[in-house]
Amino acid sequence: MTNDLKTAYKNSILAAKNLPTLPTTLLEVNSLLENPNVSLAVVAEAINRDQVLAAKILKMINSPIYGFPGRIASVQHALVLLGYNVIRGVIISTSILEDLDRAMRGLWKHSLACSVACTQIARFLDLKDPEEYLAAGLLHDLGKVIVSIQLPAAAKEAQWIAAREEISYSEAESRVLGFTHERVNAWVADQWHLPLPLRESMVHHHRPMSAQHYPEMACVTHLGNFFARLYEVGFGGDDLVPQVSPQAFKLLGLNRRVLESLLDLVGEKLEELNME
Amino acid sequence: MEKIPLRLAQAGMILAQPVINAAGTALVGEGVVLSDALVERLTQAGISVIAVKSGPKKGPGTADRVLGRLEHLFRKQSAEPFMAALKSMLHDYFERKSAEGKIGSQSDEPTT
Repeated sequence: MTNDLKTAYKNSILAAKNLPTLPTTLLEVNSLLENPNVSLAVVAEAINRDQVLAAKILKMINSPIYGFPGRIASVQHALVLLGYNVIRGVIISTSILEDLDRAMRGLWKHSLACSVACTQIARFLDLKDPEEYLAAGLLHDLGKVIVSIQLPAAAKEAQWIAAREEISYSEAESRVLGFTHERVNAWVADQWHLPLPLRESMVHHHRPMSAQHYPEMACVTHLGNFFARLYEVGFGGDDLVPQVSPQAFKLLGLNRRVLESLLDLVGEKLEELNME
Repeated sequence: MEKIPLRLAQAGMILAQPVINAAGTALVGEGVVLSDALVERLTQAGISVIAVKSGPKKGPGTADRVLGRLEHLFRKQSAEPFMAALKSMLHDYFERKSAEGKIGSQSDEPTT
């Protein structure tokens, strides 16, 4: 693939015309947060002005599948409990929720499954700020959605090739486009100014050791994606488990015993999700 | 048995008849449990209506289901030593879970 062609693709992928629009609330909140002294109450108030969005956020984080303690009754409470980065991820994913399934049937459920798995893994391994992993799971396949919106013919072709030749969706994307959804994730994460840990986990969830600053979050997303594929909750573009990185296992300190505990925890949650 | 539009198909439903495409080729056989991946494939193959078994859907338990799919899911990875080891570890785990599940459901039955 020539660089010219890649640039042309990048331009059409980032063309603002069809790129899913993020709620203006998110932009507003982003600018509020540029002031380090802004109070949570002010941020919560900005979100609450969009009542539909506020309701969607509360509905999602109160889903029993995530198992946050107690009932989170207000946006302000959610911000205190989960932090701004999580809420930002939730706002983005609720805004593209319909696009996810339009892009590929089952992709929303796959993303949700990965998100649930990531949260459980981070909590079990006692990682710092386990809630932040929720957004990493939700958004890890965002690039697939963006490609299907901006370059629908290429996305269809990749789906066909993956099914016909029984190769991974990533490999099919490489053949058709010359790059995968991870590259698209990088472009979109930059365009939308997503926080670095989230960006890295989106960009490196297939090769998590390439994450320079936050390899742990990338490794957890890598593993969460594997679990979602293993239990086949939803559909991510092919029915193959992704290659698991032995280094990621090592970095997270996984051995047979830890893996089995994680399977117990994640398996139970994913089973619930499959019933829905 | 009931005929439903493919867009209403859900993972876990069981096919009551083989799915046959316009050219007359059987794509999937009777008795197959639908997954999201399979529904996506059928959509791509231009199928619009399928016949599923009626009544409450009760597929195999999670452990049995994953166990039955393990070879298929790992079919491109088995040559790689780490993935082969991982698969064998998972195989042991789900086999044990499956056995535990069967013992569990037996002991739930009334003893009197």
